[in-house]
Amino acid sequence: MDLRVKRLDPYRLEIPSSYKPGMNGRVIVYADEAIARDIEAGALEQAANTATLPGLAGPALAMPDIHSGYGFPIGGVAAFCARDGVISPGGVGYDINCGVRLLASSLEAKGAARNLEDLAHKLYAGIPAGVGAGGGLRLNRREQDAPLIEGAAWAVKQGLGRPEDLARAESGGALPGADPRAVSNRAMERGRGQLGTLGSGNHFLEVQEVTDIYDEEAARAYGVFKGQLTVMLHTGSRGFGHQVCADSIEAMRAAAGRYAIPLADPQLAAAPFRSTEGQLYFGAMQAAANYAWANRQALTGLTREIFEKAFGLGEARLDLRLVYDVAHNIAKFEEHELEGKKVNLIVHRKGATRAFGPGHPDLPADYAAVGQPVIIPGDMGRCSYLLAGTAKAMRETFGSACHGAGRLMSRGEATRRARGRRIADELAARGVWVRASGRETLSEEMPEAYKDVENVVGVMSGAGIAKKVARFRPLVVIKG
Amino acid sequence: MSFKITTDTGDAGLTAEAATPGALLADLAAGFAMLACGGPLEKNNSRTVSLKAETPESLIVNFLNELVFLADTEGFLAAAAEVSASFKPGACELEATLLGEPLAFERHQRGLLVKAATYHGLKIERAGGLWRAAIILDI
Repeated sequence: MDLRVKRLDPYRLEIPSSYKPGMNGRVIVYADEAIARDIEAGALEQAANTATLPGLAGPALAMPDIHSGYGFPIGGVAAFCARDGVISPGGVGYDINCGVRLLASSLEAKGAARNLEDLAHKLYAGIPAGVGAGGGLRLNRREQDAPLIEGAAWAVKQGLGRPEDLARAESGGALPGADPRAVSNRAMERGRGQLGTLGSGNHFLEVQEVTDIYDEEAARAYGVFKGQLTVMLHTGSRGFGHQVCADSIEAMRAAAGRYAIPLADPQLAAAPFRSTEGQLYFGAMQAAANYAWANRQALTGLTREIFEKAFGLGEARLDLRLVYDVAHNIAKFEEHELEGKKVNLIVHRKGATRAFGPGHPDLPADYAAVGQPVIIPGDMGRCSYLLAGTAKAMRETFGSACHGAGRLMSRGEATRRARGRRIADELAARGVWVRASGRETLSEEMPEAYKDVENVVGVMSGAGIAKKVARFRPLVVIKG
Repeated sequence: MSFKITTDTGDAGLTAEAATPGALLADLAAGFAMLACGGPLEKNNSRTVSLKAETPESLIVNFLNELVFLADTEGFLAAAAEVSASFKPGACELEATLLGEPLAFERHQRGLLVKAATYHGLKIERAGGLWRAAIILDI
C-alpha cells in the first residue's frame, strides 16, 4: 500500500487530497487490513481521480468491494454539488441501473428440495439469458417510450407484476426526470428486443435459502425468515443503457474543451450538471434507469410464472413477494446534510448501493423503522447478504454501501485456474444447481474469482454503514 | 492477422499490430469476433461501416462500438474485414466492409457479451513501421 495512504481506524483508509495534483477533496476507502491487501493500486488511483472532478462534495468514497473500472472504480461513490458540480457517465458506468432485487416466497427451502432440479431446468428454459438471447419483449418504436418513463410500473401494467411491487423498489422503480427525447435512435434500437432478458457476465438469477438471521426486527419488517426459499435477480438496462453511456461519453468528450474540465482519465468525461450536455445525459440516464427497472420487473413476472409451474402452486400460495430492489450503477439527485447544511447533490454510485437509514422519507412505511434493505450478492458458491442502511451511512457515505463481493481475479486468470475442472459438478457437490449458456461463463464466474463477500460485508457492518440482517446460500443459479 | 485478447480485472481487451491503420482495425474486428464467438464464422453476409473522427482514439472506439451495435441488434459478427483508414489528426476516417454472419447457436458457441469499447487505458502508437493499439472492452 502506498505510504501516503493513511489508516484512520480498523475499517477506513484515507487518501489525502495532497495525493495527486488537482484533487478537490480526500478519498475515504472502507477496508480492513485483509481487504486492503487485495485492493489493486490502479483502483485506488481511480478513486483519487474521481476527487479531481469539479464540485466534489465531501470526500470521494470507495467501498470494500472496490476494483478497477474505467474512469471511476467499481465500488466508488462521489457526490457533486447540483449547483456548480458535474455529472459524469463514467461515474455511473455502461450498465446504467444495474441492480439487484430480492423476492421472498412463503415456502421453506427444505420442503422444496425435490423440486430444485426441475426448477433449474424450467428457469434456464424460461428466462432469456446470454449473448444474443431472444425471447425479450419486442416493442415497436411508438411503444418504446412508455417503459422509459414509467419504469417498473410499465411492466406491472403488462401483467408482469403486482401494484404493491412498486413501493418495494428504490425510487418506486422509476425516476421522474427521464427524457426519451435525449436518447439516440441507436440506443432505442439496441433496447428494442431486450426487455425481459437477463444478459450475460455477472448477471444472474439465483434461488436461495435463508441460512442465518442476524437482526430479528429488521428481518420481520422485511418478511424474511430462516429456512425461507428466496430469489435474487441481478441485471440492468442491457444494450439500451450501454448505448446511452457510450453516446454520452462521446458527447461530453466533444464538449470537454468548452467547459475546461481537467480529466485525469478520458473515461471520466464529465459536464457541468446544469449544462446542456449534463442535462441531456441526466434525462437519458434516467430513461435507462427506468428501462432497467422495467426489465427486472418483467423478469420478476416470468420468474413467478415459472415458480407456479415448477411447484404446482397458485400465486397466492407461493406468495413470491418483492422484498426490495436496489440500483447499484446510477447518479441521483438527492438532498444530504453536509457540514450542517442541507444541500442538493448528484450522488454517483458506481458499483455501490443506496443504503438509506431509518426514518428516511424515501423508504416504504413498514421499513422506515429499520432502514432500507441493502441487497449484497456474493458469488455463486458461497453466500449473499441482506443488510439494512443506517443513520451513520447518511452522515458518512451519502447513504451508500458496497454492492457485492468484488472481483479478485481477471476473467483470463479465472479461466486459466478453472482449466481441467468441472465447475458445475463442483457446485453440484455443494448443493448448487447451476446452468449457464456462455462457453466460459462458469469458469470466469467461479466462486474463487471473487472476494469473499463475508469479508466485504464485515467491513460495512464493522464500520456501522449497514447492519447485517440475513444471509442466503445459493441453491439454483441461472447465468447467461 | 495479429491480435491478442487481454484481460483486466472485470473486463477484457484487445491488442493488435499491423502495417496500416486499415489492417490494424481489421485485426481488432477479428479479435472482437473471437471474444464474442469462439467458433468459425462464415463470410456469407456483409455490412458496411463509414466513420469519421477527430482522433485515432475516437475512430477506434467508435469502430468497435459499431461492431458492438451490430452484434447486439442483429447478432452479426465479422469473420473478416476489409478496411481502408486514415489516422490523420483532425480528419480520421474509415471505410469498412465487414464479412461475416449472424450468430446461430446451433452452430456457434456463445462468447462474451461486450457492452462497449472504452477509452480507459486506450493506447495507439506507431513504432518500427507498425501501428499498435490496445483497447479495453466493458464486459
